[in-house]
Amino acid sequence: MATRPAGRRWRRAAVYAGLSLWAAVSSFPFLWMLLSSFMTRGETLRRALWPERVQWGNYAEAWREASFGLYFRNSLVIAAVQVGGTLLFSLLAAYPLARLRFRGRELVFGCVLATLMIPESVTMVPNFLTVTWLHRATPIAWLNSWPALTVPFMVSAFSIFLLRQFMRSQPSELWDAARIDGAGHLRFLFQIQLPLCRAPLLTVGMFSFIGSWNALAWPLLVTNTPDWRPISVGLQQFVSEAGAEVHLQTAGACIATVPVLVAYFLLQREFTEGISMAGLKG
Amino acid sequence: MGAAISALWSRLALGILTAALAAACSEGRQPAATADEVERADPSGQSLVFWYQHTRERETALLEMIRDFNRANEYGIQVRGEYAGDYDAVYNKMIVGLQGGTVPDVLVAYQNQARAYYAADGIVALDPYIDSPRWGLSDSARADFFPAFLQQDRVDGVQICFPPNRSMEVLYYNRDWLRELGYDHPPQTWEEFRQMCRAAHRQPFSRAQPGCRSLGLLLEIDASRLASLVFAHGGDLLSASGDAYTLDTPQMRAALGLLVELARDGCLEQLGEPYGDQREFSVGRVLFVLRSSSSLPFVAIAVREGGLDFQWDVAPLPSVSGTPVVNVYGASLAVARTTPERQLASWLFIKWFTEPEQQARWVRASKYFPVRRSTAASLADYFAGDPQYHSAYRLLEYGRSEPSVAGYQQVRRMMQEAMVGVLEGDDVDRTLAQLERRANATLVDGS
Repeated sequence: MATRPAGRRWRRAAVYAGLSLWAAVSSFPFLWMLLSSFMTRGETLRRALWPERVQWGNYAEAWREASFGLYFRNSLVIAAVQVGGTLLFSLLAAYPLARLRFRGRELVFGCVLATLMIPESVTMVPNFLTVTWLHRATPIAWLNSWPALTVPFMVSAFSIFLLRQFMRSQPSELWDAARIDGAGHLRFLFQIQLPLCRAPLLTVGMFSFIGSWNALAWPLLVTNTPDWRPISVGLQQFVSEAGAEVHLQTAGACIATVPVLVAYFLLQREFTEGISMAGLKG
Repeated sequence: MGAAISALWSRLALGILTAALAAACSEGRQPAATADEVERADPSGQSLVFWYQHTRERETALLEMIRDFNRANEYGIQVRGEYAGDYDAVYNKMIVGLQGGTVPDVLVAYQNQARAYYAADGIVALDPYIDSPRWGLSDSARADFFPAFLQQDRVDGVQICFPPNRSMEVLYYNRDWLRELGYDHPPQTWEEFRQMCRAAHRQPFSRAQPGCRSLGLLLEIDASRLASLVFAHGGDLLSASGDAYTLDTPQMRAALGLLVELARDGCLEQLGEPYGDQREFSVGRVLFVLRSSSSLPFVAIAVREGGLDFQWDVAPLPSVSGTPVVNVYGASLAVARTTPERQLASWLFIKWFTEPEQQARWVRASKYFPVRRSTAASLADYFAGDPQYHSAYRLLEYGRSEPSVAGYQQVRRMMQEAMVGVLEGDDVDRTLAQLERRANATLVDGS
């Protein structure tokens, strides 16, 4: 049996050591958050490394004091609606940009990409004016409800780009075969292309979910009561102009992080696959 | 490069918000309500929305007070309090709301923010309501307010908002540590302040964990901190006529020079994380902390739970004139332009909130300072139970305030950049000359 050359073993060991160090550094903030969430306020002040006695009560207090039950439900509903909408509209926009041949296709795609350069804070005013107008002009209650929190973010240039890149990598023979079998574009998209897009769709869904879950400025702008406010607003309760209650803030942050972590662990493989298929890795 | 792009986008976002505000301004201001209109208005049965920034205990107390107002007021006015985020979030919400026509009736606003709303005709002048024989303040009630507080909310002779409470910049100090260093009083002069900071750096607090840093002052890079230092050195940020910034002055140089000197000696460091100075103070690693009196309850809890159980107090910064000078500030309440009836109902709520009885209640819950002198009569037990609060309360008469011009928020950022620059070695003369020029440009832009 051939043995590996020593140089190669050392290189591999160095890579693993480097990656382990990087993993430790990356996970430190999460570890700090987790440990702080079990401390007393005094321990967070003294910057203790480890809680003397685990303060489970911090979680109960954070949940109770910041109405986390309501905010949690709101965040889940908002995220579900936003993810569903993003997937649908991104798919419908990406397909023609990837598959159909029409004049100005690349220009349209360029324009879509150009919107990636505009930060959310700049689009806030026009978005707000639009939802305010819709609130007044249509029978649907947009403000202080889920439509204002979700609809403006259902079209994402990044998601369209990701799906379009993936669809373009698919062989054109698939479409030719579907056409021979009598399929139209919609049938081809939903029956053939959609199952193949599982990994990039899950990636798009994951990004959309995280974006929705972490949103703060926009929800504060379009809601005035807790009825539809998300969990990020609940976390604000533990910070005031005079100081922060770090032990409760971190307990709240741990609660708020759970759904994102669960979603990521469940979809980890597809998430990574989706990113690499679209040529975004590295 | 990344920071530059980020700054560019921040400026663009700011530009969009400013453009939104300018668009709102372009329609021109409607005339202020006449005395007759105010007298004839009927506030009965109005439902109001009040945007505030408070959380936790302060929010609970505020909502209780609102409930009491709703129950007791004779006009059936109903106020609904709504948390609208922190000060910046309230500002963004109002600016955008002015465009979309979704504004509250009453909202918290710093003076420079209120000035921007007023310029956009988003809020109304309160003078007709204050002066109204039927709805306004009596002469004795008016005389009961600390004059400086009402003055802070006046712009070009117009009362654009009204103070519900105030805070001030105070010097928190570790009394036990000072005793160990041989002092039985807080610093009286700047030279003494320097000596104390150096001594604290040389001789750590006996009860602090060994091996940790030992500082005289842990400084938050904040324009209000710098303003306090300039005031205490006898300077001001704005000329007496209010038409030019005075940031390139000997007093500003003295204030920045002090910080540079202490930093060079190792007894001053810049604060690296929000509220980190409270924590370092509570564990005996820093002798002095300069910050708002609204932190009093947090510092009290921090010291109690920090495990060192030391005595502490607050004091004014040393003053070159010998008379204390403190930087007094605080957000006020503004009334949005709605209907004459709603505006009057909003004023009646504000008037109720600033009555001595409500003020005493609010002070106990929030630890802010009251805006009326007579409130003190019902706070004797409270003063006795909270000596640090009482120490600070006694300084109210010596209050000075930061500029209330519309572009001051932008100038605050410039002042903070200058603070960091000078502390990191930039040339003071060039930095201050540039700071004053840029600050004055905002006055030209805003006029």
